[in-house]
Amino acid sequence: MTHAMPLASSTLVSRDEDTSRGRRPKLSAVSIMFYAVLGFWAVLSVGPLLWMLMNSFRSKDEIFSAPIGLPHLDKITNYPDAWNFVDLGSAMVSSLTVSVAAVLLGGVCTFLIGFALSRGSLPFSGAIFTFFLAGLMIPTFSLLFPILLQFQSANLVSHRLGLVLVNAGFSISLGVFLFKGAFDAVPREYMEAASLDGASVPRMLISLFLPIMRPSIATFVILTFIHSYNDFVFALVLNNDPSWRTLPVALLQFNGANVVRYDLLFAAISIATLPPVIVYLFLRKQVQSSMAMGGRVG
Amino acid sequence: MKITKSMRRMLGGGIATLLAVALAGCAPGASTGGGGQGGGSKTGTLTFWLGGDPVGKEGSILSAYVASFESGHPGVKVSVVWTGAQHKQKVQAALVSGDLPDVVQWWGGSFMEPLITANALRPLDSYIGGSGDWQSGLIDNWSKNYTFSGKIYAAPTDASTVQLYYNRDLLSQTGISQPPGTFEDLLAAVKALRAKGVTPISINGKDGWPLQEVYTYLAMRNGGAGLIFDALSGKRPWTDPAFVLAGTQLRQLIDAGAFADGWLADDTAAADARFMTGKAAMYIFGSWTLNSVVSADDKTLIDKVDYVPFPLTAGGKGTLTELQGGPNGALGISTKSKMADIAWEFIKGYTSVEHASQVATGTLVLVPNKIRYDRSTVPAIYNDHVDQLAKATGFNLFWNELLKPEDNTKFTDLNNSLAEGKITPQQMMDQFAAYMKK
Amino acid sequence: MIRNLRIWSLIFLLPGLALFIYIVVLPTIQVINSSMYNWSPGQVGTFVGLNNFTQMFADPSFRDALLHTFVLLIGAMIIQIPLGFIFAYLIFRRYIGSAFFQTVFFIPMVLSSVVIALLWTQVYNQDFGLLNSLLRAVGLGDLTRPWLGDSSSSLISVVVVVGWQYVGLYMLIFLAALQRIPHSIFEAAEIDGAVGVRQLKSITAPLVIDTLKLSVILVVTGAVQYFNLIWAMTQGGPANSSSVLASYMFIKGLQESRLGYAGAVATVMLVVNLILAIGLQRVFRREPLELG
Repeated sequence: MTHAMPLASSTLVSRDEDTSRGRRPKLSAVSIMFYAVLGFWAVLSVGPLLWMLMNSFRSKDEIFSAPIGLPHLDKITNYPDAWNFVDLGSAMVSSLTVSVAAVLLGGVCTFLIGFALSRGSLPFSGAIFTFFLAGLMIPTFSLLFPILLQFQSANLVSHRLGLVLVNAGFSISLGVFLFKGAFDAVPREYMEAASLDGASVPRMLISLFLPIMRPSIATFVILTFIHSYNDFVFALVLNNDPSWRTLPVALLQFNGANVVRYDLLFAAISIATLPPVIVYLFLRKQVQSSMAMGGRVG
Repeated sequence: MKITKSMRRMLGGGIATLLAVALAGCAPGASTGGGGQGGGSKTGTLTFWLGGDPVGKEGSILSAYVASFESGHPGVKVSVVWTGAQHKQKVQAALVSGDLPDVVQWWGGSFMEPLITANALRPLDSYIGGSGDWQSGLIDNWSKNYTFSGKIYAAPTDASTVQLYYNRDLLSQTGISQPPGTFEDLLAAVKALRAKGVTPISINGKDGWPLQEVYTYLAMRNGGAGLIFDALSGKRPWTDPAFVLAGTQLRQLIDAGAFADGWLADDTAAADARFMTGKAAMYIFGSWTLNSVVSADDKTLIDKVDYVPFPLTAGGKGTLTELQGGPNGALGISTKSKMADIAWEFIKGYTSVEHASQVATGTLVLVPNKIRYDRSTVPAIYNDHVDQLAKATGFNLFWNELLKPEDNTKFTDLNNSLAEGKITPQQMMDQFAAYMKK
Repeated sequence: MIRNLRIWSLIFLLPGLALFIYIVVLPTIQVINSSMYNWSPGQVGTFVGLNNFTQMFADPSFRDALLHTFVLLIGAMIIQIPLGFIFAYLIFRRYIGSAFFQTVFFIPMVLSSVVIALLWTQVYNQDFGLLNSLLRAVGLGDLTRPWLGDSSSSLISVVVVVGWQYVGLYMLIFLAALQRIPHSIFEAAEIDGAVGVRQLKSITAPLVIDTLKLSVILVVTGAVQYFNLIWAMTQGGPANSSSVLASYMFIKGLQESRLGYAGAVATVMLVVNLILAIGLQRVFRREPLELG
């Protein structure tokens, strides 16, 4: 499953608010060992990335003859070269467009379903909910060829809408789960009060529920966006139009074929790495708590 | 909500329903083909897919051709799609979805069969019939690899061969004055190079086919160029001693450390870099590597590099004029193309002797045309390739094109197992023979 | 009573339901259906019953792929869950700088598999790879090897990258669980003299057991369809040594144009996924997991 089972809702306790648990063990032999363990993994986590950045400022012969070496700034030309080599700019725009559209479509659909199943007093809503959740048990990769064939008859191959539908469709189980839970958590009295004020159902959704449910919406947006943005195999198989190939597909141009430009490869993956890392560093808490909640993505 | 409960409910109801619907389903399959007639539209956008990247001369030569084609055909726009490293996967996905472009690059031999059985390519015979001039520009017998049930489905653009390239300096530093002419020479050279700490042969093992080229070259040297075609048509068994001996010889090479450490992980880029930076003395690869040799950072490399045909084996029936390669890469027209006539015009021009000569000398590749060019404008090693191709007495198509894709998967598995020492040469061919019988 | 509530709800249900059926339900049915046909592009399939399955189980490459899928699954579990827990626990104990570690450990999680694959392919490169360079630098030159090109190390090299990518996620999941434990429990334990390992064993571990179970299910079901990273790094090679169910299916369907057979492989993935997920639920059933 692409979006694996969501975890029990759990927002990480923010460090700043959590002063009550201010136990700070003193530095001791034990804690030095702790630091060694953590430090080791920290090096392992960012080491390859730093190596990548360093090599992105070196020529391919330098990389080949001495793998670890100092970068030099005049090789910043690797970046424009890599950028043009596979047209990373338009690839990023395509990834972004498809992902945003998928988030919007999936988000709206599942937000509405969440309401219908939680508050709609529909018959069989429990069974319908289970039906949606069962989607979490399907390994989405296995659906590759049938989707390709369906898209053929619907003329959706090589159409951006096709990829949007796929990514939005794969987000539905997760979204229904998140939003139904969130609607369930809103006290019934709120809705009754709003209805006494004469608010229609759509009005209630927009002015009452939408603001209350911001945390769940943020979680859905982050999970679905990251998943769509990183999708590779569906983007490869379902799109034959190179003018808007997505970033992972474009990047794979560097793998294989007759390309010997390791210098450009390092520059290209650096370019691909920086935006998500920067966005993550800015939205650290939100991203972390969303991912902890959504479980494994893509 | 408790997972356990919902899952059990889903198991009970959901799966049963799903299975029932699935079992009641009907035969899958879409009419990818159909058509075959029509295609006479004279205006519109002609889509052309080819692998690789528009970097270097390849791109500029094609752009110039497209521009002149468009100006000669008002109302036609050619959309060139470089599908890059994933070309084969892209075309195969398009085959599933019935979305092939008007003109598509593909390879001959059994490799083309899935496209033929899917009725995805248009027979070109009626076009070729009226293009005598065009045909006279091609080498003789060019069509064999693209002919299925008597019909020709593609026009060739490429006639690459596989050779043993070597770095003269590295060999002479090891005291080897002559490039290997026989398998025994090769084995001795490998051992001498290893003893000196020089990597003997660079090869892109990750891609699968190069190892097969070594194997089939050995088999071909042992049994002659007809061996493999005889085996394919059932005239000789796959367990023929010439095949088994080739396995033994391959193992001798591997055991002597012939290939670079880690060769099974080397992709083209890695294997190329190894040879082009002087880290390996020899390189078994396709002739299109000449372009890398001249464009290497080391501008003196072209003076150091030469090649020999793959060495002969003791007592073998093969000759040095029998080559792996020949007409392989080709262009076909989609059955569904609405502009098939224009597509043919495009292909005809592209594979004409004039344009092929430009491509050949511009990018130093071998083309299946009787090319005309100024021999003084290109490195001597290229002229040698052209002459060798013209004098070739037998071709063996690249192994991965000769076999159907699924048979090739099987062969690759077995060949890799042999390379890893998991099976013996005899077991390899026994298993392959048993597989091919099915 | 709210006006037209049911009508609105029905309207709300439909678009998402249609999308779900189109993208998930119909293809699932089609996968199972196609698995019983001999079928290639442009042709109408011929019904062959369970023939694809018998052929598949007789194919050593399939058995390799299945085996490797389980190796990947168990390897990923062995790396991700204990390390994730240890890191979460250390960070939870709030040493100075733990926010830094928490941030850094999670960075690989936001990168796409293709980027990670391209990066680690270079790390593992025989000639200029980071790993071999470091090994040579510290005098362990004997250990250098083409990590992805040696069939004895390719699978484990890939598993390490999967671990590297996801440890940060499991750290966060455990951290969230630890932070839900009421602080008073720890204080009471410390008064009772339960500190260090004893505290971990007697207090902390039992309280995060549910998270542990859920993490196991996450790892297992994620591993069944693992594809992107493996395809971009090794394409399942060399000699199928790192092939998994997903790469096997991709090759059968696209490279060999055997769509029915690929459907059978997909069906196996589906069934393996269901059996593992439901099986694990049953094993863990004594204390049913709360979902939300």
